[in-house]
Amino acid sequence: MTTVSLQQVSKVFPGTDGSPLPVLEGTTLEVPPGSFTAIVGPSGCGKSTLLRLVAGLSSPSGGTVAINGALVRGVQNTIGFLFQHDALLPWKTTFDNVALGLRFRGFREEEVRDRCQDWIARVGLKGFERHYPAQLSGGMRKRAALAQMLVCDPDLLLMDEPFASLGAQTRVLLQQDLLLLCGGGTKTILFVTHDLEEAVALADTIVVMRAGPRSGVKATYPTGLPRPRDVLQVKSHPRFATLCRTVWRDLAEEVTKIYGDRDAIPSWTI
Amino acid sequence: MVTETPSLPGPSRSGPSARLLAGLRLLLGAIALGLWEVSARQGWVDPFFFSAPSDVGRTLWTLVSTAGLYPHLLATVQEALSGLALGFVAGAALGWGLAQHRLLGELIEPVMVLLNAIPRIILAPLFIMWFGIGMGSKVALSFVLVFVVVFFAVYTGIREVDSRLVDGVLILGATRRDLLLHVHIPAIAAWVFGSLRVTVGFAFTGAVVGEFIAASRGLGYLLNFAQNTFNASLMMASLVIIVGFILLIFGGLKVVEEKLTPWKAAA
Repeated sequence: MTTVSLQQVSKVFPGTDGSPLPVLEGTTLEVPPGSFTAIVGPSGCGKSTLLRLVAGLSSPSGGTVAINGALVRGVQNTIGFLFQHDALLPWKTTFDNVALGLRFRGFREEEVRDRCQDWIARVGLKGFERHYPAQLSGGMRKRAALAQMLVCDPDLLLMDEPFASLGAQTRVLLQQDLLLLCGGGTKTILFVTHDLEEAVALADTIVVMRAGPRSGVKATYPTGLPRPRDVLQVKSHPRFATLCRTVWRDLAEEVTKIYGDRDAIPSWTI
Repeated sequence: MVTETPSLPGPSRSGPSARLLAGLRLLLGAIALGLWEVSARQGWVDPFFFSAPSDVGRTLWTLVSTAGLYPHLLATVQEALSGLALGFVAGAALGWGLAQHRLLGELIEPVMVLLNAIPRIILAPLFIMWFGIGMGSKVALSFVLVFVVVFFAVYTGIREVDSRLVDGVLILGATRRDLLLHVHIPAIAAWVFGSLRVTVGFAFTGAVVGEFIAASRGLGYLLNFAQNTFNASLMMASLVIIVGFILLIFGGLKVVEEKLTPWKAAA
């Protein structure tokens, strides 16, 4: 099982006017093996940047990022990454999109077929193997992306607001599927979201980030909610409301820094 | 798991049905031709300058049935296709090369932008002076019209490949070769097909205009000949042949495009 460790990580982007824009500064985070960690924070706090650093799609300006103790250098291709946008290739069918990872890794075609058919069925896309992404709904595309990621059986899954663009009902269905398909505690999951309820319902640990620039980890909360979990039922668990309120107090402070007006933010009510 | 309804295109789009629309368009065309014919016969317009659909039809039939047309058609098609092929290869190669080398790209791009901005057809007299009144000058004119368009299709196609798609396949373990094969080439194919209609049109424009200025064969020569002999029917018939031929090619391209980029047809 996989651990992720960030030590004093900083990331500076060149700003639009040429002056440096420090997004992350002194960010330290330890992700234990087999845990489901949700990262929440106000927009612009560098949540996505943090994930990209772990994936090696971007390199830190300072500090170290390590997976299983090994420094991250270059794009990591043994992990899974679920993007907020569609990362399916528009010119490939569902099947060929799901098969990409296995084919890149040189698997035999019979094994590719078996494993892809299995995963396409598991995400509920049986019968849509020959459809192109443009012929699928947003939720179905997300399912295809989920299968594309999981068919390679990576130990570490990074998810960058994967369900943000979906409608409310579809989102709940996909959250359910996510817990069903990879909530068994064998995979290490880093899940970025701006939806606090989603974070509490899915994760074991909630990491709240400070408002940017120079963002970092503000606080960490273990949720202590039982597993296996049902996304809808967990919301009526007595701890759920308390947790949401506690974490929200922290988060609201950071969001206020951005908008400057506490009254402009709806108070947390359940 | 719940299956959602896929967003397949349906016939539910409101508005007139396709068949009705096609019928109305045909009717409109027939009325226009009829008006033209009547006007010419009644002497409302001078048939010497305007001809009449029946005369144009007769001339067209003579051209097609006596084989008088084919050397001209062949010459124009040869010139246009040569210019198209050469322009395609050169434009794609340069676009590809410049997209790989940032410095070279920045250096040459302004030249291409300028070439793109000017009406390149003005180079016709120059090419005739350089390459003579044979096929060479027409191929060159076709080439220069096509080349710039293909260059920009490939150049922007490579530079503007969605970086998010690239990130996605890199995480899935793609090598540089995989990236080229599965992301870059299909993305460019979409751009190139998008520009193909323009380039085919340009290839014929180059050939016909070149012939029009100075040639001994070709559809453009036929046009020029008709003008010099004040033969309105021949001129109209030549125009019909040129337009008809290009429409035929467009139809063929559409079929090829649907075969090679099925994800677009599906959307």
